[in-house]
Amino acid sequence: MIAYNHTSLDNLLINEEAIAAFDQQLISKEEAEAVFKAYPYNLYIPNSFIRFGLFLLTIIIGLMFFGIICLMILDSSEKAFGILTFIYSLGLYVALEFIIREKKHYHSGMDDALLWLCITGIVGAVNLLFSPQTAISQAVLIFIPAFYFLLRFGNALMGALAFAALLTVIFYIVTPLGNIAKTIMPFLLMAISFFVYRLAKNFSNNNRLRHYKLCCTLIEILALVILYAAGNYFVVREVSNSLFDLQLKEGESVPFGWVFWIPTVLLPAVYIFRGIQKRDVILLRTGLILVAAIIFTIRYYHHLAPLEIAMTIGGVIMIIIAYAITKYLTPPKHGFTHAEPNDPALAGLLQVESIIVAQTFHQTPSPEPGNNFEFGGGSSGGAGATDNF
Amino acid sequence: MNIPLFERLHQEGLLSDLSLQKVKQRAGSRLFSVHWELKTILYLGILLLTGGLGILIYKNIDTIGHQVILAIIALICVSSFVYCERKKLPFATTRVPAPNSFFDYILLLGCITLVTFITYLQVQYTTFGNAYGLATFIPMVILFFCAYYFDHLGVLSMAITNLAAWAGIAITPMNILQSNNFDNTELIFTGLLLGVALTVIAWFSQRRNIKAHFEFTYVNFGMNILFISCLAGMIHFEDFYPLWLLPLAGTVFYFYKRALATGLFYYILLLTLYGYIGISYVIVRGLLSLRIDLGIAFIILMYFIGSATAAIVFLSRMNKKMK
Repeated sequence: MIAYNHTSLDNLLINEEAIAAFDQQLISKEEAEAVFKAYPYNLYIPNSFIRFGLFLLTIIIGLMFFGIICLMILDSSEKAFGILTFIYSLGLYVALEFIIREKKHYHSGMDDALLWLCITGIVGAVNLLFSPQTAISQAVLIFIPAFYFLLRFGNALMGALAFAALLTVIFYIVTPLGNIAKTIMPFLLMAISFFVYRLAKNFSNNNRLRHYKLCCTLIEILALVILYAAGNYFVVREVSNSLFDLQLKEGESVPFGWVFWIPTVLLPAVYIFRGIQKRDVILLRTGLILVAAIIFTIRYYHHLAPLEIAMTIGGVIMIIIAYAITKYLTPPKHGFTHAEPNDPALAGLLQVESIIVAQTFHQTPSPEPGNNFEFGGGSSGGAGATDNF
Repeated sequence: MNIPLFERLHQEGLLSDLSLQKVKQRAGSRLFSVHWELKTILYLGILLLTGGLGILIYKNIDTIGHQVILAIIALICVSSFVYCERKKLPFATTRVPAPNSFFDYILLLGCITLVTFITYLQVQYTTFGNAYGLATFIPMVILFFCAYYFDHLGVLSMAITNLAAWAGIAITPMNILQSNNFDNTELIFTGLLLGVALTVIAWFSQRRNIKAHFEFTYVNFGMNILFISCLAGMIHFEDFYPLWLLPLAGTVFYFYKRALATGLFYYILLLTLYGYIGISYVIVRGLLSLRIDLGIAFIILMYFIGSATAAIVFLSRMNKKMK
């Protein structure tokens, strides 16, 4: 099913394992080179910076090419325009298959760009030709090519897009069924997300689906987040209020609203606990990020303390937690360590970290003359996350 | 580690017995690292704490409580620096690793609280006089000193941002285009000067081997501000705008050489994109000044297809050349 050459993909995986083993000084340089030689892969995989550049430039070419088509049929009907757009998308698809089969491109930026241009073209063409009106038909229209591209090219973002489209379809199918359907909607979405999570988790351990590992990881994360969001009090209240037209006043709750406080608070704790228990990075990190969502939800409805006091106390607590865990894990306990993982691929993270620090802690955001002083670090623009307290 | 794979490689005679043993042993005793999770918690904690304290003194500026808050900030600052001073490894002009991951962020906490304190003194008592710039100049000097003394990339980035602010430019990634009004001759030339200065410092650090690993941080800021100033000059000036291709070409050429010397693809990507934008701007503006009709639009579209293809070929060649 996958468009890329199977043997090359397999050999690429073997090469990556050998590099990882060499980086951890488990195998010698000669052994690593012998493995590279025995398992060669014929794929064009440029550096990630080059990939980004190629992606942008291919998008430019695609758009300009489309511009020429538009110029040529400037005053014809919408239908003719739709047909040309469709032919254009087919042309892109052929180009995509060509650079993969003949030029051996693999995540080179060009294949990614063609993929996105192609799906946009198809969706646009069908809209021009049939002008579908309902949200369901739009979601189905996106789901079909996205799912096909997921299977054919193993593209993780296409997987995420297909998953999101699928949930939209379900949402709009169930909603018109009546009030009971609306009431059980959060639980239905939670159940589906949970099911998709289990499925993706099983698939990611399945050796036959080894080329879809990244897709599985992204869908796992997305499923966990949606599982939480569907049961989150804030999401349930605000979404039902606006989509189902409940006209809730401030301080009013949805019927049985208290039920949703349970998953709002408990789910991230469950994620973190299971993540630690199972040594699962995805569960653990998603859980940690969702802690911010708990705090946001609580603060949105209950003002326990003024923002700055909550920030100060929260900050102190977080520093103490980090310090306590670091102390506790020196020396490593129960298979956990606080030491830096020995991975040269992460070396660039230090530079990224320093830029994030400069961005969020900048002291003088306004360079104009005048007494425009800002107090404290991060209290101005960059403090996005802090407002959650 | 994929044990069956390594067993297969061993059977094929690609791996020695010892290596297979090592791989198996490592897979069995592999530790789960929570390094980045802890760092993130610490980072957010410090962001919240310093942000909260900053608002607190601002809000309580005329009450008795604010003396207490000030004292707390001073206390946090002093204890952070005492901790860092005791834990730090001896100074060297080469790279000095941090003794532990906690150290980096405590130093950050110390620096930020110190800057908060100084800014407060300036606003409340105008301790450093009324000269504009001094209030940004002093934190900048302190930050540069701390960056070199404790060897900290984050503090160095903050210092460079402060240097730019002192020169009158917001240089942080999210603000570089939003907060600056590049339709201003003075700002464009300041940007050029700042970019050249940062690039020279980077070159000097690497040449004299004084904290040579700071080179990238200097170059990153310097390069972006240089390129943006060149492009802004092109857009701002009505006459002679093609002349701005000269400084742009010079910058592209210099960083091309640096990219080949250091093997960094990041430089190649930036110089390609900025250079491409500059050339395309001049060509499109030139074409549009001839006349505006369908023919010209067609030529412009063809130009973009051709030039973007050329840029793709260039990037692919560079990818092969620098591998």
